[in-house]
Amino acid sequence: MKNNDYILEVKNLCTSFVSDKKEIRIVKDVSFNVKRATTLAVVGESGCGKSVTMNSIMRFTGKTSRVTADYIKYNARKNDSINEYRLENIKNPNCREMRALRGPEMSMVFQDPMSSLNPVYKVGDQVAEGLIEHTGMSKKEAREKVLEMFRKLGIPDPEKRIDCYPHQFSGGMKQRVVISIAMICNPELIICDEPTTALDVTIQAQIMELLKSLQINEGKSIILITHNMGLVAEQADEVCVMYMGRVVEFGSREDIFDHTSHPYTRALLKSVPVLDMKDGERLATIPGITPNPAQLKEGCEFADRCPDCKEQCRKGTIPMFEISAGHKVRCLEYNTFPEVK
Amino acid sequence: MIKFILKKLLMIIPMLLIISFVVYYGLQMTGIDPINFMVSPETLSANADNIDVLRESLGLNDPLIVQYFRWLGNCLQGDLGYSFDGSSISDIISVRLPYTFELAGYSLILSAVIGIGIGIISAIRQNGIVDYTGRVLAVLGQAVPQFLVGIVLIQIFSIKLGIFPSANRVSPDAKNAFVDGFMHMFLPVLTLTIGMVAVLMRYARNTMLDVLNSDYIKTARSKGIPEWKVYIKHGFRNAMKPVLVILMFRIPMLVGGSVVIESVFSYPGIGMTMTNAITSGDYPVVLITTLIIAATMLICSFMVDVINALLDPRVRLGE
Amino acid sequence: MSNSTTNLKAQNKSAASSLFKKNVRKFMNNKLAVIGLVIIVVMTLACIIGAISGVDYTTPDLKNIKAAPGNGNLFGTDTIGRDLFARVLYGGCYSIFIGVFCAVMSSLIGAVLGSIAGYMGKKADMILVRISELFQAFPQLVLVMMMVAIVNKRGLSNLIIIFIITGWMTTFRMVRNEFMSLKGETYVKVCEAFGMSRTKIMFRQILPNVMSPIIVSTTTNVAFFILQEAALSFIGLGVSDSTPTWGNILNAAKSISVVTNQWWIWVFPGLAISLFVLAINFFGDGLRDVLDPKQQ
Repeated sequence: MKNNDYILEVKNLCTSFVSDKKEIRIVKDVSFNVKRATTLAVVGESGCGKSVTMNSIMRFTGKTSRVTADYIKYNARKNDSINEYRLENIKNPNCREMRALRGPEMSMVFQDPMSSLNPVYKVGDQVAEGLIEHTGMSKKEAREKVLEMFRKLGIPDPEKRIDCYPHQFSGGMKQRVVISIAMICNPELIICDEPTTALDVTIQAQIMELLKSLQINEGKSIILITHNMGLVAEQADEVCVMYMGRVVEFGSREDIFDHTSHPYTRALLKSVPVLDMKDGERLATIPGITPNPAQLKEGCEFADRCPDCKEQCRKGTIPMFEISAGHKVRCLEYNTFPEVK
Repeated sequence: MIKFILKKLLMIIPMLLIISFVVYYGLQMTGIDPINFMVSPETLSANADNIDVLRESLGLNDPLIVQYFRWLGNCLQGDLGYSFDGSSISDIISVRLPYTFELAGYSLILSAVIGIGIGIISAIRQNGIVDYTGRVLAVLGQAVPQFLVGIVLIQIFSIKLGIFPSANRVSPDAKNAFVDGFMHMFLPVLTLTIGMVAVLMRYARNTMLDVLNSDYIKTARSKGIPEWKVYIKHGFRNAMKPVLVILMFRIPMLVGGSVVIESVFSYPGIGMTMTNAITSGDYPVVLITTLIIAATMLICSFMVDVINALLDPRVRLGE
Repeated sequence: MSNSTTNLKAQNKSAASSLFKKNVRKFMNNKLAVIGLVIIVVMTLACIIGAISGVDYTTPDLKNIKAAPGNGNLFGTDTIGRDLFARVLYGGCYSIFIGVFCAVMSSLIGAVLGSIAGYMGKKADMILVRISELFQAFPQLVLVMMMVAIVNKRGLSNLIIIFIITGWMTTFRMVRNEFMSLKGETYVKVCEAFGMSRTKIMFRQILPNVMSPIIVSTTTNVAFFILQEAALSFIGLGVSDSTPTWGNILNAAKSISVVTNQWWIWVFPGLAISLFVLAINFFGDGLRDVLDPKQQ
């Protein structure tokens, strides 16, 4: 029954973009699994390839990109039997097979609710569109479903709001509409690409609570892309830390926070403000800047910014070490580090 | 919404009044004396006294402002005055204005369909054959002067192939008015269309590309709807607005172009009338023709506002 | 102290020059733009050299009317037997001069008025915008024709003045809109807080940030004015016949018999205009890519 445990299994996913006739590798050999009905958080700085990874799985990366993988398995559960989809074999990113998955099986919530909604259509119609497409429901039935969804997601006065245009909504409400679009066909896997970055803090908390309740009450699996370590601590069951297109550390929330093994993860955690900081104490920053993916050198991508960089870190490709069950790290020096509090 | 339209519509009137006054005043400054057109030079020198009486009776000695309002009053009653060669301007306009409207109208529709069509296809199939040929044509279409395109078309279709006539709007011995009109209009319309398509295509392509890169297109794809729906329903509908606005903004270009093109094809429209009137110094005709063109432009820009409002819920709902 | 400032200055200088080098490299990578530049330079030089060396473009050779190319006349002769090659060279000087001068001057006026309207706002803005709207109510060509009718005298200087008066609106709009958004920026607020004079803020602080689009639009306007002049001269309302311009030479093609029988009379000047405008468009696009990448 191993299949049943994981909803998404990704092995050696690579995505590259062609620019100026050069191929630039953005995502390199990314492997991870998502357990059913849990939240996986993908963290890393801007530009580390977390969004590209997820877009590659959904096949949203456009024509200039090339996506390869050993496998991307999506295991759909239908009435206790498992349907395995091999996404890496789908050639045309917008073919019927892929489209059939988008919506009813897996869906995505995007970063900026302000621009994720089409400004010229009523929100209700935009939510209903996917439902009508996949179920062939009549408009009236679909409307009922949308109303139901709006109520569930806490949009006040849904009968009136359903006929409003996106510009009449506030940011938080828009994001709720975007989430209803993602949820309306009842998918099992929801990928949230920094769903709260564009929102203010109180709304952030509401949206995150909403997502958490969806996961707990309805058994959804969620992939949460974020660079907010606070959110990770609250939401995630498992954490995947990415740097320059590679997974540098993967493990349960406890593994990551209590047994931090990669210097990059350590640096990330240190740069989060905490309440018991002393007066005048400064937040740690990560020295240096993210290197240009087009001009990467051999060895560990983090070598130039790493305080513990050794000679051998600059040679070859650094392998992934499994230091305890399910906790993997891509660092040669992992066993020499003291644990971070 | 109705209030918005009315307000915009009312704005046209003062604009037209200002333009008419400026043009009227300007043309008075040219120093062209209408008497010179009415009376031959010999009579002029022989009957200086009579001429003064004539001037007085025509009101030419009144202050400019009085003359302007008299002219304006006449115009508002439908009397557009007479050209210097004595024919009624209303008659000239009523024959020639429809010709120009036909010319510009067909070109507008044709170039909108072709230009937007090619532009959208180029954006969807970026770097495909349509995109590539379209881009080459756009570059050429913007570099070659429009009248030269007209000359080349005459050379090919009228002289070498002899399919279409090279001049005029109606042939004296025409049997079927529709076919005759089509034959005469084909080349000028084609010339104007080529110029417009070159501009529109590029703009439609870039707008559509912008739209296709926006987040809501991704949202639409994430719903799993077919690609054509993504393009038409979500892409095209949003690209439509800026493209239509540009289309309307380009109408002055079309009218300006038709002024020249009418000259190339000796097409008896309003533009040709204006050109000839300027060359011969017939300023009552210049005055009326410029005002007609200005009015058309103002109405077009009014329509841009209305279309804008209709397509955009933000404007439509008055927010 | 002085040492450090000179150091800083040197650093700035080297940074600026490296940016310049980078831009040059970027431009050189754009083959079409480089070809455009080469064509512009070659054609301009050819016209100027032709004009300086004093080719004879005025004397009609009555025995040699409408001669086909070859036989001592590279491009043939026109309807009254003048050498077409000499006329195209000479006409080029005038056409290019009209294009460049009018583009620069109208950009200048547009930029100054746009800065004032955009920065001052309120009444000045309203009046200037109204005026520009009034001007834009006309197709530019019709506006020019109307001015020609009012001036009632055809000549090079009149034409240039008319072009400049009728050509500043697009630059004005662009500069105004840029200013409207830039005047909210912090650095402007800082300058205001320092008590810097308004003209200094406008022209020293904000305007340099708008230079790129102005340069690009000036380039494309050169092509626009050349085409405009050609169209106007073609319908017979441009400069007087004694001054050859590319458009003026093409005026002969209004006669259908010339179009039918003497192709060289309209093909050569036509090619000259098209090639030059094409080159400017390529050059302008390349310049835009380098200077103003966000604008498409």
